[in-house]
Amino acid sequence: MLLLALPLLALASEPPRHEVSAHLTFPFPRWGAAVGFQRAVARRLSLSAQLETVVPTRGFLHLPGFEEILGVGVWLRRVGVGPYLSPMVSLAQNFFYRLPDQSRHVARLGGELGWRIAIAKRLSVGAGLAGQWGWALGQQSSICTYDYQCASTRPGGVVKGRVTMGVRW
Amino acid sequence: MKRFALILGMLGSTGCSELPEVEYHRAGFDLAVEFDHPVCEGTLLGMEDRVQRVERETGMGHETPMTIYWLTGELERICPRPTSGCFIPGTQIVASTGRSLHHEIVHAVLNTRGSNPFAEEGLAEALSDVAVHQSVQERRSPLRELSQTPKDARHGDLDYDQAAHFMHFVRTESGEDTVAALAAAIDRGDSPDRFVSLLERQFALSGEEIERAYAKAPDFYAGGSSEAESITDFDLIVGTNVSLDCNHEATFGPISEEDGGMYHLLRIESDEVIEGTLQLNADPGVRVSLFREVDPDGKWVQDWWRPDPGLDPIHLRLRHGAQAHIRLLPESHWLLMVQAADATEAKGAYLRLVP
Repeated sequence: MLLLALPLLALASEPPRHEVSAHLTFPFPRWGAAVGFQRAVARRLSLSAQLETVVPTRGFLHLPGFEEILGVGVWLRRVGVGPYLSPMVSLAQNFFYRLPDQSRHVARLGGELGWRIAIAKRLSVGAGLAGQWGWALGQQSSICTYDYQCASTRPGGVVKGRVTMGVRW
Repeated sequence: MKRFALILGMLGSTGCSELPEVEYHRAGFDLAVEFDHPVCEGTLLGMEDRVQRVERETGMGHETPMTIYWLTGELERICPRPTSGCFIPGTQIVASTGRSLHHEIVHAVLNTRGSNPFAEEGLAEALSDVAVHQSVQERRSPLRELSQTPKDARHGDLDYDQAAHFMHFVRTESGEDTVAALAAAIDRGDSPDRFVSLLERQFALSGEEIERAYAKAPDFYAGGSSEAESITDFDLIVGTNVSLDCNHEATFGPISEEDGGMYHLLRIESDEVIEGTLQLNADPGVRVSLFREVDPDGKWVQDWWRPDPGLDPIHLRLRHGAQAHIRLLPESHWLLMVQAADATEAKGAYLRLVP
């Protein structure tokens, strides 16, 4: 019994390596929400994936959008604590929900600076500020007459604030 | 499991239902049709011309390519509710069962969003050159109608004829600058008060003065003048040749999505009474209809995009080799529609009036 408990105790005393998180995002001048997963791959290095949506402009709910983001976190102290810098790459799309073929795609490159605080053993909060640049991909479709109508796939520069709450294990 | 099947069913009935592929790539739009009959060159050119003319007149234009779905089945595959046509805001996607195609094209160019139904629908009717008749007694205060909300329109409170008649009046009396200013206001989603201020500024009149001027507007505004070839009584007496060829720019079609066909439209213009025997010499399968564009009492108006001779109770039909006595008064707007049921083969007709 003791032999079985020792590895578990050792695991519990190790710093958490995984985190799922919920985000409120503010891609100026809109706002949105995201869910994410992060895994530590070294003491100061993590990989993360997020799925984000921007709340559509009023009157354009029929043009929903999503952004899938992959990031590499470089942490000053250790993963999940204190300041971090995260280069990221993402793919975003808006589509007309009745004709999903009518869609707009944007690829983005950018980076985020942020700070995370552990408020409990398995709970963290944080905030960050990101800058991204997006390029439209593929042939132009018949949606998004103006960029503001498709907030997830605005080409060009995007400044994005973020507040985060995460659960770790 | 049952719930899963229900979700799959819902997906199947909305986002994943089958739509036709784009078949015609034209200047200003792509067109997908849900019927087997050919779309004739005149009809395609008319749609191209519509896009260009509305862009020119309103100063609007979009990089986003327009896709038009000309459908025969249910439009709810694209449109939010049962309808004969719709434009999807924030896109350049248009769907129609045919009749409202030009109206919806104008919506797309104007980038309307449904925030001011009276201005948007009125301008879409006027800029798609739909003829309209509205007697003085039928006219309500147009500036008050500008306050109609999208909810009012959904409940059926919007009178399309009234909106169209007022916008025809604005276009005729105040000109293209005002139309362009209204288009910009629609694009911005301006409030009703701003629309009224804009009209006061453009007319250089107060709201009351505009309404008084509107009360004196003519009952009838003609439509589609550029689509019909004009002929005079002299042309008829000398004899007029009409060529029906679906690949030719003056031939329109289909006449209906179910039956296909092609036609050529002639508008008869004369200051005097035209009387005599109208003779038709034509290839088999060609027939000619003579009918009025508008009911003198304003009960119906022909849609130039879909002329229907049967609307006029006194219309005349001639088959090849036939003749009939006619008497046309100058105050009536008479149209001649030369048509063939089969659009796959070119046909000809010769019309002659013997006084």
